Amino acid sequence: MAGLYIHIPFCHKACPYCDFYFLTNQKWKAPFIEALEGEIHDRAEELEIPIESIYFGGGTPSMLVPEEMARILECIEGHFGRSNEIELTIEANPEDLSEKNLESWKQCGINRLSIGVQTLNEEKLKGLGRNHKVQDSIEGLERAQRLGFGNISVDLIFATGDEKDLDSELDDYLRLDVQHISAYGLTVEEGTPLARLVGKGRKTLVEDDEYRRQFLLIHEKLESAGFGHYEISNYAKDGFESRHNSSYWNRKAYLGLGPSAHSYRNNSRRWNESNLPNYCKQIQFEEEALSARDQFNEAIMTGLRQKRGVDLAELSERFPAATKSMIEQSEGFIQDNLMEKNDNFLRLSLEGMLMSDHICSELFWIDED
Amino acid sequence: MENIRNFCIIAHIDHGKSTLADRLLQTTGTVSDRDLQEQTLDDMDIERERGITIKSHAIQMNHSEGGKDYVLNLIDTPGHVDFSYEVSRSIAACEGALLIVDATQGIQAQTISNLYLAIENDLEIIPVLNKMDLPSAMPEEVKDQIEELIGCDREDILEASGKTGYGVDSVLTAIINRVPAPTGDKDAPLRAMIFDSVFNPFRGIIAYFRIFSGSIAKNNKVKFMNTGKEYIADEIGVLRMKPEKRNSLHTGDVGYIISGIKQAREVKVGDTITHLHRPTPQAIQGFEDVKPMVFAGIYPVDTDEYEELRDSMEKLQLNDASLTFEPESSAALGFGFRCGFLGMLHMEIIQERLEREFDMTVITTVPNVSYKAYTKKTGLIEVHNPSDLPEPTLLDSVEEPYINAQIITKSDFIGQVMSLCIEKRGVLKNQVYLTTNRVEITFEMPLAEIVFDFYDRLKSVSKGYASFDYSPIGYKQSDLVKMDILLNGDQVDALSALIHKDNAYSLGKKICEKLRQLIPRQQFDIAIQAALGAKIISRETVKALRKDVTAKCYGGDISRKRKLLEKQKKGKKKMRQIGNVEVPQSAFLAVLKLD
Repeated sequence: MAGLYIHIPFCHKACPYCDFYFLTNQKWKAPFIEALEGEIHDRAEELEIPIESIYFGGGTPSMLVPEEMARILECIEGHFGRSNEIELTIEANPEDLSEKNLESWKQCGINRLSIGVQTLNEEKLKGLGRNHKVQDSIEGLERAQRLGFGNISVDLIFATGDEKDLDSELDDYLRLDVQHISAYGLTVEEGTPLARLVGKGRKTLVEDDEYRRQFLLIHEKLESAGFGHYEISNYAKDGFESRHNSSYWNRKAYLGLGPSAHSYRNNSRRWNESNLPNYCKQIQFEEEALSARDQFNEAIMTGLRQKRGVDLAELSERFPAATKSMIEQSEGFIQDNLMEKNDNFLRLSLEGMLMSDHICSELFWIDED
Repeated sequence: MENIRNFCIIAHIDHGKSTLADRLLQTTGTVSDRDLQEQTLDDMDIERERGITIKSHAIQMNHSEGGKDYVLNLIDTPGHVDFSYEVSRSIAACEGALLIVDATQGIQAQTISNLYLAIENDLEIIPVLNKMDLPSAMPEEVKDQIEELIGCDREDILEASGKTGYGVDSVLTAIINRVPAPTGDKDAPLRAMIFDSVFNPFRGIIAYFRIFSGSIAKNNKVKFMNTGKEYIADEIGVLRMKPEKRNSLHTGDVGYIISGIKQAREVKVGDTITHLHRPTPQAIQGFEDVKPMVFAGIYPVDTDEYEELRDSMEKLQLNDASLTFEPESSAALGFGFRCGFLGMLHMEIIQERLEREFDMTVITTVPNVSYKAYTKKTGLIEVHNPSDLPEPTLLDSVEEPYINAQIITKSDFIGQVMSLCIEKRGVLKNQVYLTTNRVEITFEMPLAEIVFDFYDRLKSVSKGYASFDYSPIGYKQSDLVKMDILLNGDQVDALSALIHKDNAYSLGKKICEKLRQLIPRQQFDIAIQAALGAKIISRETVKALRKDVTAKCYGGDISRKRKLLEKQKKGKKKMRQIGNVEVPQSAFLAVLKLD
C-alpha cells in the first residue's frame, strides 16, 4: 500500500525557523495547479493502486481556496480512484480554520487535520514569528471538532528557550482533546533567518540538559494521558498513528508531487527541484538509487525512530553480515540502557531516543574506503 | 661555449614566473602549443595546484638572434624560504638571472634575498616588470624600487606580460645580449656541480648538473667529491621537454647523468662531479649538508599501518633527500617517526604527499625546532622532541636556534607587524624605507616562534601585504619550559611543546581553548589541561553530549540525514583514541593555528 504527498508551496509569510520550500507570491497558484495536474497525470502509474494515504503538506495547503482543493482532489481521484479507507490529511494553519474551509474539506473527503498550533503560549508563539494567536488555535480546533473532524493532530514546538511553564502548557494541549500530537524540539536549519540569528549570537537555544528535561516531561505527561510515544517526535491515541508518516519510516512507496517533493519506491529516491517557476515550465528532478549499504543504513535510521524498533529477522534476511556486526555493536548501548532488544526487535530506550543520531551513526555500515 | 646562456628566474610567488617561463618555451618552440599546459615545468600535482615550485627544474631552449643560433638553459628554482639552499645552488649554476617583479605589487622580501644571492654570485640581472597588461600596473613606482635596489639604468628594465606574450621577444634578446657566455677551461679536469636530482622509478636517481670546466662523456668513470662515491656515467644528456641522450657534454653545458644510483641521499645538491682518473684538485665552493630545521612526529592514524608508513617514507625519501626520519614511539600515538623538515612548507608538502601519493592517513604532531640542552652530567644533547628534554633538575641550560627575519610591508602596517614580532620575542635590528610607503624591517627572533602560527598572523595583521624571509644565525640560550597537555588527566605526549617561560600562561590558555573547539563532544565531560610539571596553568572542558537527536525526519530528510550520519562515522574513523577520548587529526596541530 502506498502514499501520495502533495507539496503546496505557498505561505502567508515566512516562519523564521522553517526550511521547507514555499513562495509568498500567490500569482503562481494557477500555473502551479495546472502543472501539478500534469505531474499527477504523468506519474500516476508509478504507484500501485489502491493507495493508503494522501497528505497535503507545505508550505501552507490551507491557503488553497475550496475550489482549488476540490480540483486537485478530483484529478487525484481520476487517477487513483476513491475510497473512504484512505487517510486524507491536510496541514492547516489555525487562522485558516474557517467554517467555509472546514466544510469544503469535509466535502472533499479530507478526514484528518494536522494543525500548526506550534504552542499554546502567546509569548512563545510571538517568538516563533507566527501569524496567528493562541485563541485562533483554540477556536479553530473547536470549530473543526464541532463539524465532525475526529482525527486531528496538532504541533508542539519545544526547546525554543521561551518555555516558562511547559507543564501547564502541556495541560492546555491535553484539554484540546486531539488524537495526535507532534512534539518537535526547535531545530536550527541551515539558511533560515533563525540560523542567522543564532549565528550572530542574537538568539540562544536551550542547553542540552534543558532539552532533555522538556523531552522527558512531554513524554511523561502525554503517555500518562493515554498517548503512545510511537515515534521520536510523535504521540498518538491508540489507532490514530499517522498512516502517511509511518510509511516514511517503514520504507513503503510514496509519490511526492509538487516542487521540492520527495518520492521513494523500489529502493530509489527522487526529488523534484525546489523551484516553482521551473516546475510550471518543465519539471526537473534528481534521482538516487540506494545501494545495499544505503538501504541498510536507512533501515537502521527509520527503524530506530519508532517505538517498534528495527525488525532484526527481516533485516538479517536482507543483510545477514551487516546485521550481525550491527547487533554486536549495539550490545554496548544495551548495557548503557540506551537500547533494548526483545522479540527480535532492536529499539531505543527513552534515554536512547535523546541520543538517536549518535547511536544510528555508530550502528551504520560504512565501507572501508 | 660562446653561444650558451645559462640563466635562472628570481620571482616572488604569484608574480607570474611560471607563466612567463611557459611563454619562453612557447616562443622558442621548445614546447608545441598542443603540449603547453599551465606551469609546464612544474610536474608535481601539488606544485600546479598551489602555484608553487618545490623542485628545481631545468630546460634547454634554442633561439636565433642576429643570424646566430644560441642554446639557452633555464634553471627554474623553488621560491620558498624552506628551499633556499637549493635556490642558492641553482643560482650558482647560472651566469644571469631574470628578476621578475609583478608590476602591480612591487618587490617582496623573498625576491630580495634571492636577488642578493644572485648578485653575490656575480650574475647579470635582467629586471622584468611582469603583468604589464593589468590596469593596476604601476610601472614607474616599481621601476623606482628596482633602480634603487640594484642600481641599474631605468631603460634596462624590461616590460612584459606572461599572459598576453607582450615583451617576451625582448626578454629573449636581453638574455642573449646581456647574460655573459660561460667561461671555464674546457681542457681542464672535469668540474661539474649538481644542482638538483629527481627520482625515476625505472632509472633510479637522475642528477642535474652544470659543467664549470672540462667535459664528460658517456661511460666515463666519475666521482662525487663530497660523498666520495664512484659511478659510471651510464647515460648523460640534456634536458629538453624530454631528456635527450648525448655522447658528451662540455664546459658551460647543463645536463643530466644517470648512473644507477638508487638512493636520493647519495646525490647531494651542491656536490661536485669529477673524473675518477684526472680529478679536479678543487671541489666547487658552497657545498653544505642540508640540515633539517623543523621536527615533528608523523604517526599512522591506524596503528596497524606503521610498516606501510615506513615503506611510504622510504619511497618519499628516494626523491626527497632533505626528508629525514627515525622511528619513535609515543605513549599517546603508538609507533611512528620523528621527521626532520627544511621548514613548515616542506612539512606540509610531505604530509600532503603521504596522503596523496601513498594514500596514508597520518597524524602530524606539534612541530618543534632542534634544541641544544646542556646537562650537568652528560654535557650537550640535541633535542628533537620535547619529551626528550631532560628533567629541569638535570639541566644546566637550553639553547634554541635564532634567525634573522626580514619583513617587507606597507608602512601602514608597520606598527602591527612590529608588535607581532615583539610578541614573538623578536628584537628589532634594522628598519629601511625602500620607497616612501614600503619598508623593510629586520628582526632577530627564535626560529621556534616562526613555527607557531607566525605566517597566518603576519598575513592577517598586514592584510596580506607582508612578505617574509629568514636566515639562521646560530643558537642562543633561552628560558624554555616544557608544557604538557592533559586530556581527562592523562598526559598526551604528542601535544607537549617547548615554549618560552614568559609565554606559557597565555599560550596554555589559547591551546586549551583551541582544543576545546576541535575535540568533538562525547558522552562524558572531557577536561583539557595545560601543565608545567605538576602545575596546571589552564583548563577547559568539553561538555558531555547529552542530546543528539533529529526532531523531524520525513520523506526528504531521510537521505540527507543518512549522509550526514555516515559522514560523521567516517570522520570518527580518522580520529585517534587517547584514553577514552576521541581526538581528531587536526587537534595535534592546534597550536599552529591559534587566533
